[in-house]
Amino acid sequence: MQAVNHEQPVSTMSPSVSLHISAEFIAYTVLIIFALLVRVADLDIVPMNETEATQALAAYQTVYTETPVQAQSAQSPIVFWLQSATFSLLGGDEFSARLPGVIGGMLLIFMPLLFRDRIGRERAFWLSVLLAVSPIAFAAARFATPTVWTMVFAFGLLWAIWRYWENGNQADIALGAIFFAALAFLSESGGLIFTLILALSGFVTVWWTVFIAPQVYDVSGDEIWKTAREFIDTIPFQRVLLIVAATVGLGSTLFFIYPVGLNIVAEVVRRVLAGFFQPYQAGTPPIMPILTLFVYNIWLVVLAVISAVILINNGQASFADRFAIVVTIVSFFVLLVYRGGQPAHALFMTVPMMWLVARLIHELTVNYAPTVFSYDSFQLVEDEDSYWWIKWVLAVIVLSLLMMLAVHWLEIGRGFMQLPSENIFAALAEARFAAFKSSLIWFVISLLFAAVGYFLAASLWGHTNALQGFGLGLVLFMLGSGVGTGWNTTVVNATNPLELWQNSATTNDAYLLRETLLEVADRDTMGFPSINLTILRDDSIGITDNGLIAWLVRDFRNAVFVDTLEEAQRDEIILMPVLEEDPDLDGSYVGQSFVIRQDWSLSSLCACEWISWLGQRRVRSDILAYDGTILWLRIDVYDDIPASERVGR
Amino acid sequence: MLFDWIAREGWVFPVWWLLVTLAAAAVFPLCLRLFGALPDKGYTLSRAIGMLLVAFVYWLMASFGFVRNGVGGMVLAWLIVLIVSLVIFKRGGGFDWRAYWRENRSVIISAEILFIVLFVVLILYRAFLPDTGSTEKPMELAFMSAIMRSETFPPNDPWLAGYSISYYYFGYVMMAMLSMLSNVNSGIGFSMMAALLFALTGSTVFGVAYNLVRSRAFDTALGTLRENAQGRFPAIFTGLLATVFVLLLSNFQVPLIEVPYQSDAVSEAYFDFWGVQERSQFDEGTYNPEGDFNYFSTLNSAASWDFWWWFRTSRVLTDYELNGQQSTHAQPIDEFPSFSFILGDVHPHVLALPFVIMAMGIALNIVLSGHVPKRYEILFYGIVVGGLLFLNAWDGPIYLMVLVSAEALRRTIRDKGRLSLETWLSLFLMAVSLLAIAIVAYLPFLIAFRTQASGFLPNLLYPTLFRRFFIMFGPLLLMVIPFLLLQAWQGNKEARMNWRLGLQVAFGLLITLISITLFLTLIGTLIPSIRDAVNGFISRNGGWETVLPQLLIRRLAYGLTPLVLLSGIVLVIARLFPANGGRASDEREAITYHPATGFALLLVGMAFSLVLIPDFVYLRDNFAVRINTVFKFYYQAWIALSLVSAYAVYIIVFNDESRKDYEPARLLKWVFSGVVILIIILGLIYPILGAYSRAWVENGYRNRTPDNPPVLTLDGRSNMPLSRDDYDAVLCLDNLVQSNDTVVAEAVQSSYRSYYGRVASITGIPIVIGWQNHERQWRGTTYYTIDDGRGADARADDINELYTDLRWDIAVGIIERNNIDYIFFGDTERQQYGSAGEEKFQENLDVVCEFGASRFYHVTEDALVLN
Repeated sequence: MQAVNHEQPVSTMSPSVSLHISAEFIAYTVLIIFALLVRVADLDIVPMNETEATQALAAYQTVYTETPVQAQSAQSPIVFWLQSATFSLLGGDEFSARLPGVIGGMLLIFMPLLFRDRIGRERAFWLSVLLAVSPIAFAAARFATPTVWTMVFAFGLLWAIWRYWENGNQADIALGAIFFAALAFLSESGGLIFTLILALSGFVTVWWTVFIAPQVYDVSGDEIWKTAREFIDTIPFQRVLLIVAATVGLGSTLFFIYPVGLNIVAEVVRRVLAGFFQPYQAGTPPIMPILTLFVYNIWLVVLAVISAVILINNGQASFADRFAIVVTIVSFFVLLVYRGGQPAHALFMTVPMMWLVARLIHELTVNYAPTVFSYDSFQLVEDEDSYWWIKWVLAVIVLSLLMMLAVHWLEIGRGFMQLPSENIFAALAEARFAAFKSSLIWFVISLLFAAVGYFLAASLWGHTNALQGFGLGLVLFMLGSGVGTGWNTTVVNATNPLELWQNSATTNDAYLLRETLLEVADRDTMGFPSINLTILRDDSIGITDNGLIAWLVRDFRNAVFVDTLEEAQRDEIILMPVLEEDPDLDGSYVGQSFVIRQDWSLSSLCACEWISWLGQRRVRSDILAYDGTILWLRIDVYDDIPASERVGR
Repeated sequence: MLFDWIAREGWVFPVWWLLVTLAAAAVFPLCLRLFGALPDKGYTLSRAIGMLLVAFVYWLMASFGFVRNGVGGMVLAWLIVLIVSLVIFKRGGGFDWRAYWRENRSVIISAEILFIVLFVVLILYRAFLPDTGSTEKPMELAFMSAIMRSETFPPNDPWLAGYSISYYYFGYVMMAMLSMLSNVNSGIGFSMMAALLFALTGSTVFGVAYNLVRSRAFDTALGTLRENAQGRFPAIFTGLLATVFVLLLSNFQVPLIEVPYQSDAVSEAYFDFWGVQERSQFDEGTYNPEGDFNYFSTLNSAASWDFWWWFRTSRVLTDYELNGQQSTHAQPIDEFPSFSFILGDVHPHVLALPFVIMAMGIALNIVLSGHVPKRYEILFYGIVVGGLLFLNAWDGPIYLMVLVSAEALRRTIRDKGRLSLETWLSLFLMAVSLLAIAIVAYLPFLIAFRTQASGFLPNLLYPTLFRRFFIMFGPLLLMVIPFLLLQAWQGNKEARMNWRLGLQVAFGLLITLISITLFLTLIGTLIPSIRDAVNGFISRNGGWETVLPQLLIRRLAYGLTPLVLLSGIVLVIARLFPANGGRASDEREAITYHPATGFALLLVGMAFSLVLIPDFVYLRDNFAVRINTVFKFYYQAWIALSLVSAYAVYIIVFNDESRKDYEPARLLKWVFSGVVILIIILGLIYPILGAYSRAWVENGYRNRTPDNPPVLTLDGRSNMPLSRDDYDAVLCLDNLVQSNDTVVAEAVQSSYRSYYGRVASITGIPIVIGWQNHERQWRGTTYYTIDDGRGADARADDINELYTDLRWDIAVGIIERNNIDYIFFGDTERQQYGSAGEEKFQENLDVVCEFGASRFYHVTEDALVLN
């Protein structure tokens, strides 16, 4: 008899599940981790600026109702709701206030994945990388600027439109309507402006396409117009409007839980209109977004221009590429006239330029067969991949050169800053300018070397590879310096008023003030923030019940804001602006001053300081306008006399 | 002087023009669909409609808490209106813009020029006279300031802290919106709104009259231009005429009474004949029996006429007791728009003026349209009716009836002059629908609204004597009656006058009014207070056997007025509902009048009814006499008759059609034209001299020298009769206090004194209690039950005690009870209460905003702790 084998044969066992991790997956994982780390690290180490504080207070007051602040309406519905959520979950502090911006920034980095099928995974990845390292996007995310959400929604809207164009699904229309509503009304005042920019750009791009259609697509321009009109006619506008209205209504009020949330949308609309006549913050220089773009991301501009020129000259620009070019140009002109532009609005130009640069990077990495010089003649190499290393070697060399140039640039800037306004040449002979002269010479030499080097490389391997190498070097330099620039802006120089991003910088004294108040509370009210704090309002230096000072005292529930000195007299703890003379507080007080804010105006920059300011955020003179506050403790409070024995008010 | 003012405040005009034009632009696509029957498709109505709809959406959102009271919410409301307007326009299919422009180019340009001219003219007038201190302007300014300061709706009542406004404040919301959008203070906004109302009324009535006439050029069935249609000039001219009649024309008080009176040389018998209040006899020592009366030299000396002589035009109707003496109770007010703009009040009836004319335009569209109103049209009409209710409560029911009557007229024309039972039912349902929509749409207002109205009372004693009625409505009657006679003649010629029905209706109306009067009289005898008052009256006048015959004789002696009115109603009904209508032979049309003429007749019927009603019954309010009923009804009657008068001029003078049908046309035309010209000349005396007196003479500008020219300003706040110190202190507080839950204490008095309630008027910050009489009128019986039954008068007692009692502990109790944050001690308080009471404030409270001897005391929690 045959033995009965109850074991299952191996061949009938279930196949094991294997996990295939692609290079793309790894790349994105690394990117996530990197982007998250740099965005979250030390998020609360820098005190809030006035704009952040005002936005955060609106949400704070919703969550913590027993606060002495009188918050203004929030500037951004989406940030308002997210901050309300983070405050509820994590407490009301700087970290949780900035978290919505970080979330938006992270989402923004991965929005290119939506277009991966269209533009290819490499290009999508490069776009994500550019978004991750862009100093503007970085700063916007870390400072909880709602503009990151504007760009997220804009990506979503364009993606929905593209999908509807390709598939004609009604669901894509609904999605598009939701993104449209979010972009125009739920993000921030710039959202509506950007919506108009996108609409205008769309029209101009179609017109451009009509113009080039006979040459590029071999169809008449009328066909293009007809197609565009037919596409628009297929859009069910009434349904779209209904969805938009529902999204705005439900989204802003959080399904009618908070009806006055619609007021935030109203405020958004008001700020849009106000922005045509006044800056978003007093003292902001005009064309702030454009300045921001050129100061923080000049290399992106250069690369984007190169990309656009190449694409147009070669007739390789797709509709999307043309759209990106038009958006950039239209945004530029709109932000030229729109007074209410904020630094983060530079993203309106930055993101479409990144689209172009991502295409350029992709082209830069493509292997082209070089023309190699041999002893007799130039020979075209048949195997395109055999000399793949040329451009990377050149890139490294160029990167090194650029780094050298950057170092010398800094020294040159320092030197210019120290140059006297008269007898310049005589001063140059001094020993202290030796490094300056040396850097100047090396800077020029490096530039010449770069130029000579280019022609040398081109003579060896052809212009294409040489240009690819130089381009890649520039890209690498841009990527590397971008992270550094962003970090400097948001952390190192966050309290430096010379940083362009904020025209009024909050100093670390803000934290010191809060710590001092907490220490007093620790001593006076057993650690509970219940001290009797009187704050004298002064709008001219920002002591208001809905600004930075209000944020610093947000949880001191016995804090009171008063309008006149008489109302504050004899109170236990008084916070007030620094006056020319000591105020009459009708009692004995001990005071400590804090410089909460420092202001600086770009218009005070002289020609000799431009380089040092651009490179190092340093100027000749350190005389800056500052807003000082002084904390007065009544002598019995200072001496820690028990409350029951105190005589005063 | 002028350029200096333009440099300072001239920018406000283009900003306000832009704002109302943007409102019009938002609704214009909607108008194109709503007003398809009007030749201009509602272009001339779009400004008023835009303002109404944007304000409605904004107010509704703010009332439900979706937005706070701020610029953002207003812009959002405008966006919503724009989007809805575009959606409705898109659903209606294509539109031939070129053809529209070709047809309406001239009316659009004319309307725009007219609007700008009227706006500028009255801005200039207000710049010379930014009065906010006389009559009820402090109240209006207070409402506006309070709305601008309120963070949410309903807005705070500035004169009763802790409560919201209990009045129809929609017009003030519009004022506040425009002021906030243009970033001007309430004083400037007040003046600008007065000017805007002038312009808006003028341009809207221009449009309605234009459409009324121009519609005759179109085939009513096909909507196309008739072959022999007239050009546009007669329609435009009629529109301008309507503007003059509504905005500028006055009654006959000035030419017939005031000028002779000011001459001091006309015999008293003349004035006794007219019997107009305060113009029946001369003041002692002024009559010069030997003087010569020269009309023109009297006109020339207008600068020396009595103070506020121009006010008397609104006090023509005079009630007399049975003993022949003028009644001592509040006499009727017979105001008309020209007076309103000379006076400069921005009262609800003036605020509603452009919108009631807009409602007439809507009614005209209903008449001209060839279809039953669609659902979205009904919704729109309901919102309009509710809006009128919210603007000036009296106008809501009136124009509800006008709209329904317009639909009735349309069906009458469609059904060849007969209304079936089904049609009546349908009309009733329409009325109910409009009312329901109006109530639901404006529920947040209606829920909280308290009124002094408490039923109806019979008018037994005070009908209107015809001669005084003629003084009031004579200018218009002299144009309307020929029109009515012409219609009667025409109808008779065509055997279409339904005299029987006309007499039935008129008689029925008379019987109904008499029945209601008697019924109310009977009901009144059941109410003890009324019965006692009546019994007292009867016994004072000699008992029932004396009084009853006198009443009858009075009714007969005064019977010419109702006779004329009822005759007019007979004519209207007889013409509108033709004889043999519905059963006409095929060769002849049942309806032989144009729908535009039918609409004009409808307005005549409405106006005559409104004038007739107060002779029999009136609304019971705080005054308990017919003063307000006459005021409101006569105002609407004047507007309607003005519009009809302009149409009458067109029909008699310009209309080629009618000329063919009657003889002698040329003679009638010339006589009538002469009469009209005379009426216009006489009617324009008042606005010219009135404006001159107000803006130049009363201001003292007449006596200024070139090196001391007047300083023009629109800021009405600076024009209040307060001391400089008081004014500066109040402005200081306005800047200091940003919240809207602050309460201020200031001196209290009854009413009509601008130096009481001034803190609230200028700043909008609520005070403990303001003009008590007005609060009593607004709140009715609830005035006596607020503050948990204490009543508002207790607040006045508190304030008096606060300022007079020398004890601080008493003051603390009052302060705590009324939640007072600031106490004002200015000139008014010093004069009323003396200075002794201030000492306790000086000892215990901090001073803020001190100018001279005027200062505010700030109440803090510590100060209220009694040792």
